[in-house]
Amino acid sequence: MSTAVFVCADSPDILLDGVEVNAIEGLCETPLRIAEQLGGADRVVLLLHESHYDLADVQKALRSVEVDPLGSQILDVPLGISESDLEATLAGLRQRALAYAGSRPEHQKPTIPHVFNRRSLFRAPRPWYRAAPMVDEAKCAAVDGCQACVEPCPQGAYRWQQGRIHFNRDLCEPCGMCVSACPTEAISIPSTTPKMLAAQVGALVGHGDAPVGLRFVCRGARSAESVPGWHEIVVPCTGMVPGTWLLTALLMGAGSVTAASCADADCQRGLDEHSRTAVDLARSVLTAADLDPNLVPLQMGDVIREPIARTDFTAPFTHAGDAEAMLVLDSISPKGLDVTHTGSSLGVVTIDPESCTLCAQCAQTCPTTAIQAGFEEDTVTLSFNAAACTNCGQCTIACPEVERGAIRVAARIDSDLLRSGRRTINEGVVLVCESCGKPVAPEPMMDRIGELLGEEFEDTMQFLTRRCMDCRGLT
Amino acid sequence: MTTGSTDIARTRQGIYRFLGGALLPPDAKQFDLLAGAVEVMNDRDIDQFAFGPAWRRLGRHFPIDVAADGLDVGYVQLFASGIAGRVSPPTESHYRVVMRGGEIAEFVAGLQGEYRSMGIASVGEEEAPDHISTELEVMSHLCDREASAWGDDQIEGVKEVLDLESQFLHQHLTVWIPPFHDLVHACDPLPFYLDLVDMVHAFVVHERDYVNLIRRGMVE
Repeated sequence: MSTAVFVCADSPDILLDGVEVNAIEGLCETPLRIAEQLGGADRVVLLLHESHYDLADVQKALRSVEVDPLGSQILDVPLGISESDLEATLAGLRQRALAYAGSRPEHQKPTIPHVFNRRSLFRAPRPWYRAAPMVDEAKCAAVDGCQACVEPCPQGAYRWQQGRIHFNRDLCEPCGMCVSACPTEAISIPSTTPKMLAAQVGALVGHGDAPVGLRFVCRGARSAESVPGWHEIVVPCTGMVPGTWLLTALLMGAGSVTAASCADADCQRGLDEHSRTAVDLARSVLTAADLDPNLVPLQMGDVIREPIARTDFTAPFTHAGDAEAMLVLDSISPKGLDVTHTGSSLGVVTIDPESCTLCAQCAQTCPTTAIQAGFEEDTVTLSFNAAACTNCGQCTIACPEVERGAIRVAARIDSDLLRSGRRTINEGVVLVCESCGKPVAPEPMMDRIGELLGEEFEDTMQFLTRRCMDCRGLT
Repeated sequence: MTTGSTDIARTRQGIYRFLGGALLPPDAKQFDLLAGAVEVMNDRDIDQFAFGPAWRRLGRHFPIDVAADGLDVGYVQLFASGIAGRVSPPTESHYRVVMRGGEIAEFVAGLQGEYRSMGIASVGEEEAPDHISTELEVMSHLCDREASAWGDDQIEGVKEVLDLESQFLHQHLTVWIPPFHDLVHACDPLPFYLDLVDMVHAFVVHERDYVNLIRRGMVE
């Protein structure tokens, strides 16, 4: 895997750890010229001038040299960018391009900028392509009842039916909300994978000695003017970025981290609240940890702070990485973390033993096995591991006694619980068959069924509680 | 080079026909014609579409010597007798019906009914109506009608054909081609068939989105 970097000619000369930067005159207007100096590279970083190029033409040029446009990085050179900032930006984009793992045809969603009319008989508009999400059915937990992607999608492109997720490509306007909502990481957008984000952030924070500021941003909200020391991490929509990602980037070594708002992009998708919530969550966690909340400023341009940590995460920008980040933060904080916030991508499940019937539907549905049910001879145990909980709320959808308060999920980050691993949250007796000794059902569940059926079915219940499924037919 | 709607419809028609021909039992004469078609299609600005690289990879196999390159044997192994016990039948009913334990006849009869409702009465008389080549040829025929309608400035006619194309792509090709593609890959066939099936997959997935975009974007 190798990367070639191309710059539209009047950019400054750049030396990037020995990587040649190809300056081409008129590159914005004639992107096909990259073929002249590609030299066998399969990943490309392009520095172009905003509004001087046609994205459809650039993507076509990349395809003509068999480079996947979705893995290529295109930067509109920000006005007034310093040479050192440009070098750092290029280092980040180059690493991001190298971390690209390829795409399937389903990931390419075409867009045509104009309407078709009689004029298009002579010149039809060229399509350009966005990276679209795709569901990996092997990883999808829909068969167990998970439908965590359905509600977050602002276009209603996901539908759960009979244990399958149906994805309507036509409705999808790729924003990535489904990607961060999916508890099993079954949904991916190939241009914005955790590995690519980690590679870009890692390169930026490792470049030079000066502290860097990072701003998660969508393509439409990118800043036309450079702000010294700040770099942009492009995602399909900032609504997909949970607050824990901002903290992860901070703990990887960034001095300051923030997320752009939809207003910056003049976007009508209506996800502005999500990016504001993410920033607010990060600031709340920092405050709870007795750290400076302005490490996550409300907007780019504030003073960049000194980094508070340089952590090598195992899997940053994933659900596991979120829990890991909170534990790192807890380790550098003078006090333990316990924050409840609507924007938390970590959750804490609590059970009310009075109303829980131990039916274990929650465990069966939990897509990350944060809740598990353990059956022994005459006991059933529900256990919970906070580090695996993504606050998806699927357990509350599955619970038949949720209205009686049997189960609750709090959007909460509790470092003690994250550290303590799996613990029992409810347990009870399992009735055993008087005939063969096999388990029948949890006692609270049979009690509840009896309560719902009423006194007139008391005899039936007596029978059902004393015989297992196999022995009922024999009596 | 023009890139008007008629030209694009003709290009798409050509690709469907090309792919349908390449997926028939290999024949030296047919593959000579396909080699000539590659040359023609390469001049049709295919890189503007996402399937451009898949087309390039496929095109590089031509010209092909069917016997010397082992295509005749490779075809039978991949689609009929099997490679290491794995077969990937090139028929829709296998993926829609057989794999789910259903009855083929009803499915195939329904498909023939759809062809008739599109005004294509002859399909299915000599070839399997649900064979991949037949279905690609049906789409080629619809693109031909679309191109003619564009050429005649018959916007309503264009819309009508685009609806048929979209329906056929949604209800048939994009439903079974992805699992067919995955099964072919699992069979580890000759590189030509890998690249051919990659191109079919990339093309029909793109077609589904592209035809919808044209339909939505059309105004008088």
